[in-house]
Amino acid sequence: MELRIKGLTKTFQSFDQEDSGVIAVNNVDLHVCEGELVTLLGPSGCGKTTLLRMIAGFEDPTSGDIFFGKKRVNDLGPNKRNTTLVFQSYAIFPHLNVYENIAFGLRLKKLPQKTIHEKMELSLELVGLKGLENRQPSQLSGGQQQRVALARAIIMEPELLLFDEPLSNLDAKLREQMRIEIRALQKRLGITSVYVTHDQSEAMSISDRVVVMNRGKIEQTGTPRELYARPRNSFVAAFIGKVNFLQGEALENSAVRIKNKTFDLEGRMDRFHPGDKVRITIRPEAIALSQGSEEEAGDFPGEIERTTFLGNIVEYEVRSKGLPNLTIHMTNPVTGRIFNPGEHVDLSFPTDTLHPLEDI
Amino acid sequence: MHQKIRKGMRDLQLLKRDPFIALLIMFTALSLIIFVIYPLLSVLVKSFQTMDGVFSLANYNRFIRFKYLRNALWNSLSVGVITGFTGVVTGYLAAFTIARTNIPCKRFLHVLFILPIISPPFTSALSILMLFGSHGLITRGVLGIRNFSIYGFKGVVLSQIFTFAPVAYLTLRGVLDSLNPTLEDAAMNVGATRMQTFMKVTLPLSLPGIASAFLVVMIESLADFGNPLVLAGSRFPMLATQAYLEITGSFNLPLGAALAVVLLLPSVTAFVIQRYYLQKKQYTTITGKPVASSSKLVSRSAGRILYFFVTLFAILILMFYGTITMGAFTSVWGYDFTLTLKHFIYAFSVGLDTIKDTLIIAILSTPVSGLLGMLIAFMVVRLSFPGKASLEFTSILNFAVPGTVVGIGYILAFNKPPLILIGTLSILVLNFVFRYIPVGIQSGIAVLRQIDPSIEEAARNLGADGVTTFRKITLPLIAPAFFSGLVFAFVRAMTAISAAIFLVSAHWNLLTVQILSQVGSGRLGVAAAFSVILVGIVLFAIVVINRLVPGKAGGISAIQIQEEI
Repeated sequence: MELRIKGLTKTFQSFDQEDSGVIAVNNVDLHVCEGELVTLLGPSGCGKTTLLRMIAGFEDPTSGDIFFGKKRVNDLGPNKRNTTLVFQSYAIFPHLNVYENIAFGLRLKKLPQKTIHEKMELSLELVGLKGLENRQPSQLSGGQQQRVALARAIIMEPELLLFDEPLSNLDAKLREQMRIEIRALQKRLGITSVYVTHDQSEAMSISDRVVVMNRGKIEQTGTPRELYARPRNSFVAAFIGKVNFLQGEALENSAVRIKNKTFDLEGRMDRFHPGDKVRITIRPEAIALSQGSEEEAGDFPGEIERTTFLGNIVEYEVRSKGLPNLTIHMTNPVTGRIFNPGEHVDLSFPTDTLHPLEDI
Repeated sequence: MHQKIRKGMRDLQLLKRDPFIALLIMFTALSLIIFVIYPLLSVLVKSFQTMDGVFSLANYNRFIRFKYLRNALWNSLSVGVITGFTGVVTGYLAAFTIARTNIPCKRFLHVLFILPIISPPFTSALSILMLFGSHGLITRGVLGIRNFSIYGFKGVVLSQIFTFAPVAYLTLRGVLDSLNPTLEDAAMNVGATRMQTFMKVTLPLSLPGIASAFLVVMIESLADFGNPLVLAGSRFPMLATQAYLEITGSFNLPLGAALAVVLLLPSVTAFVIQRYYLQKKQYTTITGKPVASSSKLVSRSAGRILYFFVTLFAILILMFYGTITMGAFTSVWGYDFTLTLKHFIYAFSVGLDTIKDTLIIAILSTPVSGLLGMLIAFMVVRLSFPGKASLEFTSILNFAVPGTVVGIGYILAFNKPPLILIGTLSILVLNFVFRYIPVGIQSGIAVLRQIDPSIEEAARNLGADGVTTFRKITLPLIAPAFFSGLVFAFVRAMTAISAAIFLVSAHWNLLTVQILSQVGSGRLGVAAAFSVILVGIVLFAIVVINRLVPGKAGGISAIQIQEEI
């Protein structure tokens, strides 16, 4: 089933001052295709959870429409929508055991005991909870509770599966393992899914497409790769991964001047007129650091300010006259040479990694 | 304003989705209007009428002209303030001693201190009469005094202190337990002496709770009916009893209603201050982490003084209950102390029907009151609908309204069409249901606020409608609070007197009323026997509920939970 959202807005009334509500979700359009997993990503308070709760039916939109397939669901209560949600707090019923928790929805549908049992076997298998059917929630670890919440949602075979920051209460290792499992499960079952998170690496690793939200609005929608390589504006660029912002000036023929050097951005500067100020980004790992050889002198000279060894990479902070301080990542530092603070280096900016933003 | 209307409209839209819930809200609102608001309005209207039903200010005029009526107000207020003050001091000392020292037998002392709460409200009046009355064991028997009169101010205050100090004790125990003792450790750590720590940390932090306990005790004292009826005497009129006497003695319903209105004003004022001002100011420094109470706040000598005081209070309570038990087995109290069972035999022969009536009424009203209380708590916490604040206020209003006022309201409201209930079982049951829901509501609200709303949302999300969610998820989770609400409602239904005394009839009588009439006709032994039976039934019921419900749900701890809220 595909999900379509048109012009969705949610305003919360503040009780203290009349007429000044808080706009949580502001005129959002979204289309999630059949079988796709789309992540809503953004800082806390950006409206992503409110949007998800409107899809689930827990909040009523102030205006706009939500369509499940061709059916408008605005006026359907949460229990009438064929969608299930994996809650951030898991929301396991504390008075029911694992089996009763997972079977809760099926029992409400008055399915025959045998059918419930078959589906149960399958779900328990899928989430790896076999043998724990009779445990009480208090006897489960955080990861197991997470699996119960997941099983309870997928056993309903919903048309749309929703996730509200489901991994935020797990430790880092388990989080990574669970997101791989969730993604595999979602692909295998082919359920259309919407996943809310504030963790950009989670969003990148799990999604077909990511929707970056800020202050109730969608900043950009795209595949993880698009968002990382071609962020539309400073917010998206900074929210996903680390980034260096550079000031440039547009020239003729899609060229741009940064400080005193000219770079040819090959057709990526069409929006700009010569003389426009342009904000350019470059990722820390795209900048090349070298030292010494005269014929290979880089684009700019620089001096190491700070060196941080992180295992898989070394992070440098480099000062270069006329540019903001730059963050640079060098991979595989174990075999390479590590520069010390105070050393002079040459910086090279490969032109295809320079990316102009829409805002300044 | 426009916004509010829009919000109201939206809320209505939501209710349309769940018509059953909407019906339930309307049903609740309607029953609150009929059984809480309508009786109160009836009292108000009646107070502005003559005996013939013509509008007049004559009743209030009489109140201004006649000294004994003015005195009734003054007496009730002064007794209320003195009882409130003494009760709170006693309650605080007891609560502080048990919360902050290593006094032995804490559990026993705790149960002893709340025993008066589960007894009929005039138990201490009865034992005071037996100890200090004209044939009192102490006044006449031990001291040989013949012309001493316990009646009046001193008698009422003394018996009310023993009746209501336990209420203050429970409230303040809750306050002190929720103050993190680490704060006291911190004060001493930076060099404060024990006295400074108490004066600058413990006392200021418990001050809102103390003020709140004072007002609660004052409300209960103003509303108290049994103790004044037994001990006030004719020369010390008090409002609650005077209103009763005007109605049953002089058949002057309008004047009784006017007195009820005069009684209502200070009670509701105190209630509003307590609820809407003080409760918001209470400090809770509890963190959810168990804190080892390491407080060294009480020095050895201060501890001794506190132990002495608490032991004295405990001995007095024991003496009161011992007196009643002895009285029940003694031939003629004050003259002939031979042991006998004749009071019990008499009690069972005249009073068996009354015992049955009392049990039937309590057993009928308890579950209804409990369910309705949980339902209203659920509505208040989880639903949004127009008029919610008024519904909540109305549902707990009866906590502040003295029983006398409610009783007069019920006879005024339900002695004429469309609802004629006077003399029936229903009027007693309904009265108990609506009088004792506030406590159930309060504890239900407290428990519901602790349940993560997403648990209920999860049920909705999996296809449960509003009612199914309440039945399958919410109700099981609030069961402990529900059962403790039941215990409380049962205890109150068994021991209530002030409203019920207006509503009993030849067909349906209550044990408490029976005890009072035995006291009135001087049969103290029979009254004592009935009291022993009544307290016995209540204790038995508490033990049974405790057994049936696992965990910390029922029984004494239930009452503790109730009163702390």
